[in-house]
Amino acid sequence: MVATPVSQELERFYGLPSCDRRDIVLRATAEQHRYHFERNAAYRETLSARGVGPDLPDDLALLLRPAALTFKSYAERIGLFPQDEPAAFMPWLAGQLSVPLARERWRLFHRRYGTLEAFLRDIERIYSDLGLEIVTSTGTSGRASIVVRNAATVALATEAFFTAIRVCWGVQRGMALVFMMPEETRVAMARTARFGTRYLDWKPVYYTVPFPATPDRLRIRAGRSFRPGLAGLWERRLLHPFMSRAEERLAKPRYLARTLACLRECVAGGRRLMLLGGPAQLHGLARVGAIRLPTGSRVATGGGLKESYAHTMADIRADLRAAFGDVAVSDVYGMAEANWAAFECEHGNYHLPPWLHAVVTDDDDRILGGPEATGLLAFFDPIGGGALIPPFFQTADRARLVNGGAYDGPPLACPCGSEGAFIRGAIQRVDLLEEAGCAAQV
Amino acid sequence: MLSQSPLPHDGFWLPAGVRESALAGAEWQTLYLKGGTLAGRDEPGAVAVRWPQLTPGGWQALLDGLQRGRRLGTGEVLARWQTALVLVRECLLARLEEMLPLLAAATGYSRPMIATALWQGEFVSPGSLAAAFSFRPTWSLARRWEPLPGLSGYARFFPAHALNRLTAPARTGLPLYRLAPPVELALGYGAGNVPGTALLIALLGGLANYAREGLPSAAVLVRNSRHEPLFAPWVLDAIEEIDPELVGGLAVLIWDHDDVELQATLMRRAGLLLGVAGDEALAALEAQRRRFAPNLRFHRHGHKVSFAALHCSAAEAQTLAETAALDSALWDQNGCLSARVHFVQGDAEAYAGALAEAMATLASELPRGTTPRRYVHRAFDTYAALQGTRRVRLFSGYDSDFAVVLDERPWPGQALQRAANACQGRVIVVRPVSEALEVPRLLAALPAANLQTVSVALPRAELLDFAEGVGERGVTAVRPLGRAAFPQLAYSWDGLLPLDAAYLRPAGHFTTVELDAPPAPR
Repeated sequence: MVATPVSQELERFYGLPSCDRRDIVLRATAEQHRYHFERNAAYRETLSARGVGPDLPDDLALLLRPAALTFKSYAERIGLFPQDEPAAFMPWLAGQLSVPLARERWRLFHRRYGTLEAFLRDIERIYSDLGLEIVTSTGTSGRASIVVRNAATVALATEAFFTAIRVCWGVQRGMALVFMMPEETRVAMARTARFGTRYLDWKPVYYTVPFPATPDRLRIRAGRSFRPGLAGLWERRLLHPFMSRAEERLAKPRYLARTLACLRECVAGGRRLMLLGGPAQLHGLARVGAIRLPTGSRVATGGGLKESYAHTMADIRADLRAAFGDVAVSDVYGMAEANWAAFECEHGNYHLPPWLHAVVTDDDDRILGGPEATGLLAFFDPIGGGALIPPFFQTADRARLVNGGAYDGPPLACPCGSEGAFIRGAIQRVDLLEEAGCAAQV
Repeated sequence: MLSQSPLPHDGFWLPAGVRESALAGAEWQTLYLKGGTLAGRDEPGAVAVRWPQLTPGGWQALLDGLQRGRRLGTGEVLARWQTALVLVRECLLARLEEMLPLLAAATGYSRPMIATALWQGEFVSPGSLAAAFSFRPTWSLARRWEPLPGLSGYARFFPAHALNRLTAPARTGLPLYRLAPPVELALGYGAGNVPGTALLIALLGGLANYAREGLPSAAVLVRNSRHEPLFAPWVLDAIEEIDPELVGGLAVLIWDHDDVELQATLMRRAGLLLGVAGDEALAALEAQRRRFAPNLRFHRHGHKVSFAALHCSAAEAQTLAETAALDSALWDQNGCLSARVHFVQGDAEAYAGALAEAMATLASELPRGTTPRRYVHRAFDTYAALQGTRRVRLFSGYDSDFAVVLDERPWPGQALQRAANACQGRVIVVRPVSEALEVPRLLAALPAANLQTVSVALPRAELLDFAEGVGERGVTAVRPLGRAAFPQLAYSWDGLLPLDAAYLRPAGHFTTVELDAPPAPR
């Protein structure tokens, strides 16, 4: 890989002592807070209501916004379908960003769009001078996060991703990358992979799902929210069942066959490879075709189990190892709202990038101290948002964090040798509100 | 039993007559509870609770013993329960100081809240259950509201099937209920960390044969919640001292409901299945029922949401808010009866302000428990971001013990759903309405099966029209404001419970209006 200045800087962080990293990251967090507080209306509004001003508060938890709410908050303003109301969506979007979106261009939008994908493309086109790239979450909850990045933050995500797979997994240029995901999608990890491989001119690269995955298709397939009126009836009664069946009967056999063909091609050429995909999809692959991958190859799962699945992650990993010749099988943890990913080492721990100030919070949103603590993972990423957004977020994922930012004692080392912050064991997605009594979430 | 000793507390209850034989050879499981969830052994303040894992022989001895313990005739069971419940209340009050700390530590609810909810309610008021059993509803209830005899209130039945709705006029006067087959064993499942669920199941299950004179009352076996297993054994211990025959056929245990073999055995022996649990747990029970005992009668109570609706002038705001606050504060809105969105016709702003004051008072008088403060923070953030619309106003701070929000925005289709879901952990959205009958229209956006109570302060003349509207949407109970957390068993929850335990009826739901005094005739 050709080392770029950004990747050199990021890689330098891996070599810094943890106390030095912490000071740098906290200073940068204070600068970023002030910068975004002055420019980002949504951030300022939330923090002002909490009683926070432009100076860094003693309690850093007050800077954290819930990732699951922030980029879905358009739903509270305009409902679930931004494409129906571009005129209302654009002020929301402008409020989320720390760079100005020229208001005079709002009139260039159509009154409404047939799909969210068409609307998001038009935003990227109309603001092409800003290099906006809009990514989304998979939207399995019925409401997709809509997150804006620009050229600088996309480049950063790419560098962060490829630096980390080099440092953590030893994935080097020359290895084939086989992504069991569509090339055309806004889902963050797949989009980052696509940008990264193009940007770095990585070869060979395969995307084995031959169908685009637009936010609209993902929403209808998930079946959690449908358009109002006749369009919704069409989606609910016809498209959703059709897409579910088509996925199983048409799409899945096709992308499994394509993936196997790619793997065979690499094996025939004696080329090491990294195969990356969703755990359920990769599990499906392992069950239809066993193939011994070249030594030094890796199978990586990402995205977690989005829907109920009859097998546990442990089962899936065991089947993947059995099917692909005992290669390394590991997981990557990330989310649309984060411009980084955490990579699992051979000891089952997820290593967070060293430029993050990662913490966990308790049920009352207090940051927990100590060398190891369990709570909702939160992070302060002073570089991830660039000039666009303040990336200080609380996730909806419960994790056991080791060497978190609130701990300044001697770090606990992972058996893999890393002394930075890492997540020990499984990461559990929790609903915003857990069930305690007989009260319902409807 | 109630000492602060490090020995585990019993999280099960067996009648004295079967205790020894059922427990022979049993292995013991000890778990640690704190804040309504399972905790680690070394967690400071965690309460150790134990229960037995019976051997197959132990199960057999238990089931046989429960049958032998069914000594009470149906004619006397209700009167004996009522007497016992009055006496047991005094008995428990005397031990309150010992019980409250343990219950508070295990469930995560504050001591004053538990004391208020459990000892000031009128869950089973003397005479009300007998009155409920004397009610003989006819099909006319599918067409109009009728008074509940002996009770202060009205009932209405909403048939689920269109054919029944269409043919109801032709059947006016015919009985709505028919006698259920005799029940030897009622099997119950409870969940959650709100105390009392297992007792409710035990009481109702025991009344399953109430309508069959000459038969003994049903034996009852309850699978209790791991998250609150303490309260029922304490009450049953006390009742056994007062009237051992009353509980001779009753057992409360915890077992693994994934134990397919055991579940099959129990379901095949049972004549009535009662489930008070989350929707997923009920679906799992239903799947087992279909597999093992398809003819087993299943009465279920799943996840629910409740609301408040009131007329409020500026002059009434303080009084109404003080009453309504109780409906939302108790159990920190973890209860199915907890009011979430408060619909206000009149001066909603004055009401929201007064409600915030009332919630602040309750925060010190009935402090919140360990329910995550995160819920309040999320609601605060969500609505703080909407204050720029000038149609949303927050009446509480980020670190308040509660959140009160006035939301006057136009509400698109799913807005009520989002608001209702945000209202947990002492979060209240105050929603102005132009008239009370706007409420049923708004509730149409929610799944009918999840609707429970609307606590109301409405003019008497509007009450039955309002109840008709919300009843059609799926609401099962309309209660006076401030009484949401103190339901009476004689009125409808998810059915007219006493009658539903002993009789069969067409699919559908009841809605009852519970009153302090009867409304004006229509």
